[in-house]
Amino acid sequence: MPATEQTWHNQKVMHVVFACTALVMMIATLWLLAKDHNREWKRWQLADRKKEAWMAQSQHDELAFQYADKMDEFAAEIRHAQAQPIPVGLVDRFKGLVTQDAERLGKSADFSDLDSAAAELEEAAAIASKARQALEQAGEEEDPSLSLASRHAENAAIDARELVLKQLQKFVSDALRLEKGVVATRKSVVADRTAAVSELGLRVGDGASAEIRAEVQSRIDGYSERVAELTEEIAIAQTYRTGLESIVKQIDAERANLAKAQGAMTTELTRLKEQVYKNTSNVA
Amino acid sequence: MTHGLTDGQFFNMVSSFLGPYYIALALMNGLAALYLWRSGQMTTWFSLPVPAVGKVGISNSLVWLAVSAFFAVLGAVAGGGLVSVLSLPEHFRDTINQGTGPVIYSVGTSAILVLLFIFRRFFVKPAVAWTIWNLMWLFLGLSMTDRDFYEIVAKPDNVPIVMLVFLLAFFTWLSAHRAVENDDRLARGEPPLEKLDNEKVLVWPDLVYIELICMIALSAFLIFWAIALPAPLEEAANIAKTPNPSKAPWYFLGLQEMLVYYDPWMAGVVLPSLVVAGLMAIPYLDFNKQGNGYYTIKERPFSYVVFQFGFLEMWITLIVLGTLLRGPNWNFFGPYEHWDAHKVQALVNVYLSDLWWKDLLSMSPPVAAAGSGTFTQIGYIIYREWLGIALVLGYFIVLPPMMALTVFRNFYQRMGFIRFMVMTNLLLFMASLPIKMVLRWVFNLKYLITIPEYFLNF
Repeated sequence: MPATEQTWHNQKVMHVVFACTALVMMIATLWLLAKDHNREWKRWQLADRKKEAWMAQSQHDELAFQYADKMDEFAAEIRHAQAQPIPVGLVDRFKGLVTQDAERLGKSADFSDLDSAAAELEEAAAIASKARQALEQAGEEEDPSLSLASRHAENAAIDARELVLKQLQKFVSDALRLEKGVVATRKSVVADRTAAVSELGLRVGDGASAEIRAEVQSRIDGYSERVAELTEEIAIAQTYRTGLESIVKQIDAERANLAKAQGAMTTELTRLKEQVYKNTSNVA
Repeated sequence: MTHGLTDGQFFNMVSSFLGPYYIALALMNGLAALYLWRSGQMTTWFSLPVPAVGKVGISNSLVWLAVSAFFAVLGAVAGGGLVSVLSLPEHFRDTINQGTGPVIYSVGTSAILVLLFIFRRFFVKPAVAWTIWNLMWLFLGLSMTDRDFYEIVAKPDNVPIVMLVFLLAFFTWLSAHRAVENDDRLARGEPPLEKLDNEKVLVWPDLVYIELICMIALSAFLIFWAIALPAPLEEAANIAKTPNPSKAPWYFLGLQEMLVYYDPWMAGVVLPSLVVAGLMAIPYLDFNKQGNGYYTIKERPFSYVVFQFGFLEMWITLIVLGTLLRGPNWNFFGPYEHWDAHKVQALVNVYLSDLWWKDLLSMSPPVAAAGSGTFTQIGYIIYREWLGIALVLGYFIVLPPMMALTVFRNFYQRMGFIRFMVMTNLLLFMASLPIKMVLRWVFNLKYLITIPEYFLNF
């Protein structure tokens, strides 16, 4: 029987029904969008976000105003701390540790750069101190030239102190490098020992003679001894390095504490700034 | 939902719903009357003597018109704010609350299904079905004025369950109606209804175009529904304040109800897997070649009964029970009962091994000595649980051959050993749920086999 083009339903009616359902669907979609756009709590949420942003901004401005003087004070105190001479006792302790370790390793310690940097700092700090005193004595009748001279002297002292700290840091870096070297050596020896243990296992499996097994075992024993030595060396190197780091930390303690207090204020201001941003943008 | 509302405010809220609700029912009956009249299906049911006129025939169309008028009056009363008079009597509601429970509910729904099946020829009559349909809606409308009922039924995520009940009632009637009619036709030697209308049509546009239109219309309906009844978004999850009752999605509430009677791994893993496996196995188990492409009950009575029992009784009624009647602490609450989180139901569940060793033999269950080996321990466990193990093994191993020799002899002969064993075991697993329900209700029996040492309880 030939195929027929006759359809079961009237296509014109079907098109009308389809158009009607499509229209209903469009209305539903638009209604959905409108409902979502005008969601129940939107007005209050937006108002609340604005309020939050305003409050955070106000807090920020208030704190920024409160902190302004303190921040300047902290900056001045940090500069002052950075321009101070380093206590001789601490430097001597540092040098003592370095010397002791050098002797242990059969080397000699060279402090010429450190000493010259320390001497420079001593001198620069004395000049800065004098300049500050002169400035303080001038009192309210501030002389711009004295202020400038004091600032220059303080900058020189800061640079000199940084140089000393760099010199100290060189010794710390050397200590760390040596420590890492020993750790790497130990790793390598442990790997050799593992290989030797595996070799012994294979030899035993292959039925090797007692001499061969004894030879491999003696190698393993040798590696074990070396590992023990290196472990001890690592402990000594670590103690030495942490000792040096501790002294450097003590030298820099005053500046670090001041910077921490200053950082807390900066963090609080940044947090409030971010809160303002979150409540005035579409960032989730 | 109605928390904090005075009775007056509550009735106002309900009347804004019930007014249009009853008007819609009036329209539904009016349209039915119009359809019967216009389609020439109007028949005279009885005659009433009217003075000066004589006997006046009362047709089905006139009756449904009267029902329509009745609903219109109810709509006017409800819309006028007098919903308090449109309530079920309080003592009736109290009686339902006190009389219902998991036992009455499960046994009652089963009994109703059995009655519907036995007297299907009566119940599928359009007039009878339409009457039941109207009564269901009327019952729902009259119950809505009860605050506790309203709280449960009108909750946005419970509305689909109520719709599901009505839709299932309709489609079950539709299929049964056609099946009964086909059975009658086949008995008379006539072809089934579906064979009268089996002209081939084009896939496009006669099928796909209609599907497309339905898809769009249903999508629009779902959007309108979502706008009208937004899904209740709850507060952020808080481990210090867990919801009570904590319910699974509605389609899993049947499984959650099974947790009352089974160990979690049985109710949550084994039985659902068996349901899926069983459904997949049906085409391979079914040897009855009759009844393909048309509705029939007489030609497939076994398939019909098993499916309707499995689907309606063991899936749908459990969902309805879990959704509407299980409240805080998974306690059963009547449809008009307040969901009181402090309701106490004293229940001491026992294990079969305890019944045997402690109650019957008055001795402690055997326990392996401390430090004994795994096999010794397993031996003692088997000895302790011997009765349950024997019963369960007997149920799954002894019953199938007995069935093959007796009631299912014909099935066994036509299906062969493997197919028959698969079918009977699936059937027995299905039947184990009502059996366990009865054991729980009658003996408070929790598990037949209790092996907590290996998380194995049945």
